[in-house]
Amino acid sequence: MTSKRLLNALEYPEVDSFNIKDDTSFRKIVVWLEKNKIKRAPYPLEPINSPEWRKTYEKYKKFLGCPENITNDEESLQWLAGYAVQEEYSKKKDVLKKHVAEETATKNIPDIKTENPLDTLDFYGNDFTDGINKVAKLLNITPHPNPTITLKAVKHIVTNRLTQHALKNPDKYITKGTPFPLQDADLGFDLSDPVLKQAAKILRMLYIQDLRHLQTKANELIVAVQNITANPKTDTRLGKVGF
Amino acid sequence: MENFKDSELVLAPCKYEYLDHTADVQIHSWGNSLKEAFEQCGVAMYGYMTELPSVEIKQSAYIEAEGHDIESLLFHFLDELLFLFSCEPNLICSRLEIQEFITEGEELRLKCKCYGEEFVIGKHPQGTEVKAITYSAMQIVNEPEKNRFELFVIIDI
Amino acid sequence: MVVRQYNEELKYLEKLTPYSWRIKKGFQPNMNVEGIFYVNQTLEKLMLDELRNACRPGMVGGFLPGVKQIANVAALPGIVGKSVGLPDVHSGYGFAIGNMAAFDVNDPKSIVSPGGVGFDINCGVRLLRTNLFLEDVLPVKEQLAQSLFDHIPVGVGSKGIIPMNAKDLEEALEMGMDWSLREGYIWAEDKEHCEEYGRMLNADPSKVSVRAKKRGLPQLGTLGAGNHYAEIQVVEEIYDKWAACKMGIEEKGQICVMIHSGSRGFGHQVATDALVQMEKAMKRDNIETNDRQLACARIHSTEGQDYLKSMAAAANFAWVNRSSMTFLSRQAFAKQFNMAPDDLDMHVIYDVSHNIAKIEEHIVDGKQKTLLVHRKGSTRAFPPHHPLIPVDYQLTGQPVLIGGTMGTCSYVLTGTEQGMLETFGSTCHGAGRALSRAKSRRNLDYMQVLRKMEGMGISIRVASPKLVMEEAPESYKNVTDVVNTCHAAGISKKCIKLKPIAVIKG
Repeated sequence: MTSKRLLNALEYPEVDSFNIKDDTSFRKIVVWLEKNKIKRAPYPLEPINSPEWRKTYEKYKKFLGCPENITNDEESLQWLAGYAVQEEYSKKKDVLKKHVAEETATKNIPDIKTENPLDTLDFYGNDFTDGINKVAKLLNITPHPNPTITLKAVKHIVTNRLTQHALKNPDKYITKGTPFPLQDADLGFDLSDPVLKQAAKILRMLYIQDLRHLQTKANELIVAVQNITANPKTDTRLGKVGF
Repeated sequence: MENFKDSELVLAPCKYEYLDHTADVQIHSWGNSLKEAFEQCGVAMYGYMTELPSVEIKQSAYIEAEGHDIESLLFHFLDELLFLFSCEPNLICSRLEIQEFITEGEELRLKCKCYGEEFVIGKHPQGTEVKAITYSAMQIVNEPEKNRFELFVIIDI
Repeated sequence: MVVRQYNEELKYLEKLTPYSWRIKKGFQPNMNVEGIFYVNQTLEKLMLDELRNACRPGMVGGFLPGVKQIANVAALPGIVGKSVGLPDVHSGYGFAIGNMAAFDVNDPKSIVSPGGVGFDINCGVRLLRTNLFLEDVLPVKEQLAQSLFDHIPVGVGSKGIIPMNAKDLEEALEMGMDWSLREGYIWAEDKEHCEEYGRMLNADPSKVSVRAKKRGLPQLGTLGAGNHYAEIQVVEEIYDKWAACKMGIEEKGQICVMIHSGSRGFGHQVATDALVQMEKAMKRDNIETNDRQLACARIHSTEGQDYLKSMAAAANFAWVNRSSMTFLSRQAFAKQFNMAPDDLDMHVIYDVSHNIAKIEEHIVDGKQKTLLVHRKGSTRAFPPHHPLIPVDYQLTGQPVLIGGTMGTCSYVLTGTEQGMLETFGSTCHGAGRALSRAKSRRNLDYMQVLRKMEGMGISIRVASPKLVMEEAPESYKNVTDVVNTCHAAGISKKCIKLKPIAVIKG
């Protein structure tokens, strides 16, 4: 469970005992996250036993920019915890970056001024993050805490689904089919850790998708060559068919 | 069409039978000499590919076969006949006449004149296709003193 | 062959599970490994009866019983694992038909045997799907059967109708289905859904005799005779909905076309030539076998290598052959329904080889080994995620096509991990004969068989009336028994059952 890992990183005191399915437990975590980590609510959240709690919580989520397609508690908790981790990170950015900087020894990179405005963008600034998240929201993409990853997802959708050709022939681009029963599938090897197993399964799927793309490209190449070489013939005088 | 002497158009009496075998067919042929048993065996194989009475004698061809023993001579003889059918001139034969038959010494050899016509779908009923000749359970009974000459060959179909 | 009483023989056989028997060492002399065979109750009886008959005094001629043949194969040099008999096993030339055996390529003593492949090299089954359903086809069933018959040359002495000269043949032997692709007879996706992608790369036409090429040339694109057929089939049962869906089979009643054919006279001649060569090589290299029919040569000898190269050429011939008939079938359907084959969605679901030897990687006793796997009357059945199966079947396992006999059902299975471990990823290939041909001719009547077919709603077009008796379902083991045994033993998994509605035969 991703939420559990995130909460663990945030040092949530009841991380070992909480039950996401339990409403009180869920409310307690949300309140704890806001009070101790996020600290953004324009007005305090209601006490957890208040009948109004859900209402203010929805407002609060919206205020933070949680995508509207996240409706169930499990997913929204994951999103909130992710948000909190991001906040934590930006607060301690300098300390954390120092560790990283020590790892990657700086080299003498010549200082070249470019005129491309994209090069001067601050990819980790709030402006950029907000902008990307807005675009993502438009495209119904769940933003990732790292805006550059969100950007990649945006690029994927735009280049695959929003080209002229794709918009005219949506059927060719929107893959149809029966969803794969991922949970029942045999992975082909054994992993004792269920989290790792899930990740491995997803990697399998991605690998198969890559293979499929490769095979499709190979087929397209064959067809291109066939256009030049093909000349199928039959000549029924050569042999006798039917009676 | 070739010209044949009347004697060349006379078919030999049938001295062969097809024996039980799970996946394939076992030919059993016999005669008054080993040579005759060979000829009969070849005709029997053709008889499995079509109905022999539908075959007219219109043309002929020669085949030659060699072997290091009688078994391999028989194997190569039948293989040549199968080949004669499978490619040009696609000959299906109802009469075989072995003209040279050397079954002693180091190199065994035979030469055979094959009488028949080109296989034509529509004229000749299609029987079963012979894939190959096999050595399996091949038996050659060559006992001149008892006047017993018999062959057993399994053909793969 | 060791002569023993039937009861004595039985001491060497041990029932391991309800579906498998062990053949212990000593059953035949010099066994390097043990044997195993898979049977259910019905097939077990057939198997043991065959052995009992062979133990009767005075039995001569014919083949050894299948179980003895499996044991003789276990005595061949370089064999690893077990000599495996699949449920449809019956006695054949040297190896039993339905026998699988693997030899360690890195063991210099290991052999390759043409008898372990069979005369009809790369005989196999191809399945095409359509987007038609039974109700679309029933009103035109007779016409469609006739149309297929009018497109595909069948039977003894038939010749192909795709123009080929000697140069074309050389190229086809080297390129396999790539030749058919280049000439435009098939689609790019056909290649993708074919074992080995329809081409064995080690094929060398220069190792093939002129004789074989002469026999092969006129026969390319012909169905042949014997147990070969083209059938229009309808999906009768779906056991694994999801796997069937990956194969493009959505519902019961969908129409498919199955083509069962091989390398014709070309392959037969390649095998014959190799057997003659190997007899000599065996004497030279002092290779001892229990049975003269098990002619073989060391894998790394000239004869062994030449055979593998010419066998590969014959395999390519067979793929081109099945591809040509795929082309002709698509034309027949297109004409009947006045639609492009594309619009009829006539894609190849898969194409299997059940008479072949291939170099494969397997795990033996925990170590990866390169093996030469002989499958004679046995189909490769690789599990999900195996790198050699097409991307579309990575999650389902390789489709395994089991052709029935005239008038009986056919099946699509998928490969399993267990099969990979137990049988080197191999399973059954079809029904397997139970009755001799001559017996079938005697006991069955031509018209009776035809009427029975008609009663079952099967249109039939056949070149030879004799064949109708020989190939009648009564002459074969029940394919459902065979398939159920493979499923129950876990060496492959049932996916789809198909029922014929029209049969074209030689």
